[in-house]
Amino acid sequence: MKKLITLMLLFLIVMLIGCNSGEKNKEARNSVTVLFEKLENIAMVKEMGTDLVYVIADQERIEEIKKLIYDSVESLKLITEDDIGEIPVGAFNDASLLTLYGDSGMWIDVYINYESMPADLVCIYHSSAYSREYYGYNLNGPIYQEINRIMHTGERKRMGD
Amino acid sequence: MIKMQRIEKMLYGVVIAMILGVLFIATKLDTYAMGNGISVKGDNNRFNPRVDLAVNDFKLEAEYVEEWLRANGYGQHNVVNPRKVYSVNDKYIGIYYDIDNDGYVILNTINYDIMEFSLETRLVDRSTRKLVYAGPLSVFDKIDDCRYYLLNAKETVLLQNIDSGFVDFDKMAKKSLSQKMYIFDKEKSKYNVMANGGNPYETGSLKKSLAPWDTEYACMVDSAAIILRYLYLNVSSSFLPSGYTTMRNAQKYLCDYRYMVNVGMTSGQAVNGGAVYRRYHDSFLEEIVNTGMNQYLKDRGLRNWSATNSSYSFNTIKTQINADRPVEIGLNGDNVGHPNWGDHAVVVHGYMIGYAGDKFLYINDTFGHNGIIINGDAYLYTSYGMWYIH
Repeated sequence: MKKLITLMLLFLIVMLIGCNSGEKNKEARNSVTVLFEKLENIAMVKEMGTDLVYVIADQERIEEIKKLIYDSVESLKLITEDDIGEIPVGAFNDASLLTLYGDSGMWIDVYINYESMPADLVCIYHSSAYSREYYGYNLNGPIYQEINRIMHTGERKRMGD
Repeated sequence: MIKMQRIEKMLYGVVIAMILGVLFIATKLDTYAMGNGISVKGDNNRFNPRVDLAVNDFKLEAEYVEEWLRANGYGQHNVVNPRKVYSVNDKYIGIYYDIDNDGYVILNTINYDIMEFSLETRLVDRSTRKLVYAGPLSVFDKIDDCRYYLLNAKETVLLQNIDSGFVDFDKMAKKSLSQKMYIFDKEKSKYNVMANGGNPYETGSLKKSLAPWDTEYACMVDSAAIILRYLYLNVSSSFLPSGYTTMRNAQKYLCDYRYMVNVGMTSGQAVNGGAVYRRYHDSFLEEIVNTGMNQYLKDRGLRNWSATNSSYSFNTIKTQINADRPVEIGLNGDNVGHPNWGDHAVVVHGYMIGYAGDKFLYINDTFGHNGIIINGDAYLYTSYGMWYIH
C-alpha cells in the first residue's frame, strides 16, 4: 500500500512539473501568435544570404514558416534592447535572418539561432521607423536549416538590385 | 474482503492518475490546434481606383522648395509641374514637382518636409497615373488596385509587396507651410550670420571616389577591402599587399589570412576579431576565428594607424570624412529604404546637413554603387555599429 501511495505521489509530482512546462510552452506560443498577429497578415517573408535574398510570398509556404517557428518555441525569454547589443551585419551560414512583412506596412526582423543574440529566437517588431519592440524565445532545437530549406525554394534576388 | 478493499484502492489510484493524465494532455493542447492561431486577413480592396491628377498650381509650395534647394547649396532651379501624391492608404500626403525637367522632388504636405529629391532623375511623365509614396526611393504609379509601377526601379510590384511602414503619415506632427517658412527664414538668417555670408548648410566628402566593388564576399569583408583600397591609393601603399590590390584579391587576402571571416559580424569583431566561421570538412567541424583589422594593420607595419569601432555617431563620421577617411557603418536596409539589404555593412564617403539640421550620408553600398544618399539620423542606426581606420 505504501508503495502505491509513493508511486501515486511521484506520478503527481511528474504531472505537476509537466503542467508547469506546458504552461510555459503555451505562454510562449501565445506570445508568438500575438506577435505575428500584429502584422495582421504576413504578406511576404525574406531571408538574407551573403549576397542574395530569398523571398516567398505564397501563403502556403508562409504558413509553413510560421508553424515551424510556432512548433519550435519552448519558452519565453525576456530580453531588452541592451541584451541584444550591437546587431551583426551580413549573413551567417549557421543561422537564419528573416524579415516578415505585414500588409499594414509593419515588419518583424527574426533572428534564428544567431549565436550572438541573447535567445535562440529573437524578434524585433518595427511598428514604424521610430519604434521597436523586442521579443526573445528559447527553442527546442536549432531550426535554421529547416527554415532555409523552405526559404530557398523562394524567389532569389541579388541584394544590390 | 481485504483483497477487495485493496483492489478498490488501486482502482481509485488508477482513476486519479487518469484524471491527472487528461489534465496534462489538455494543457499540452496548443492554441494553434484549437483554431486560435495566427489569423490571415487579406484586404486588397482598401484603395480607391479613382485616377487623381494634379488640380492646383501649388505655387507657394514650389517657391518654398526652390528656396530650400538654394539654401541647401543646390543652386537656382525651377520647380514645376506639381502633382498630388498619396500614401499607400490613399491619403493625400504631398506634392511631386519636376526640377528643371531634369529632376524631381517630393514635398510632404503634413509638415512640409522634403521627403526626397534628385537633380538628375525625373520620375514622372504624361502617362503617369496616380502617384503613391511609400518611403525613400519608393515612388509608385498606381496601375490598378493590385499593381503598382515602381518609378525609381522601373518595375511593376504587387500591392502586397509594397513596404509602407517606413513613414507613418498618421503619426506625423502637422505644420503649416507658413510655420515652416517662418522657421526656414529664421534658421537661414542664423546660418548666414554664422557662416559670415557663406552657405547655410554643411557638407563634406572624401577627396577621391571609393572603389565600386561588388563581390560574393560578406558585406563586412567588402567594406574592409574598399576602405583599405582607398587608403592604399590615397595614403600609403602599405595598406594592401602587392598582388592583392584588386577586387576579390583584397577580400581573399583578408579571409585567407583570417583577418576577416566570410560571415556576418559586428563592428567590434571587424576591428578586434572574435567572429566565428564554421564549416564542415567531411564530418569534421572546422571553426575559423578572425583576428580583426587592428591585427592586420600591425602585421602590415602600419604602427601609427589603428582601427576603432563605436556605436553610430554622425559627428564622428563627419570628423573622419573631413580627415579623408572612409567609415564603415552597419544598418538595417528596411530603415533606410532598401529592404533587400537586410542587416548590411556600407561605407560612408560623404555627408550633408541641411539648414534645419537634417542629416544625410553619401554611401558606397558595397554592391558596386557610390553616391547613394540615405538619411543619417541616429534613430535609424540604433543597435548598429561603425568602424574606421585612423
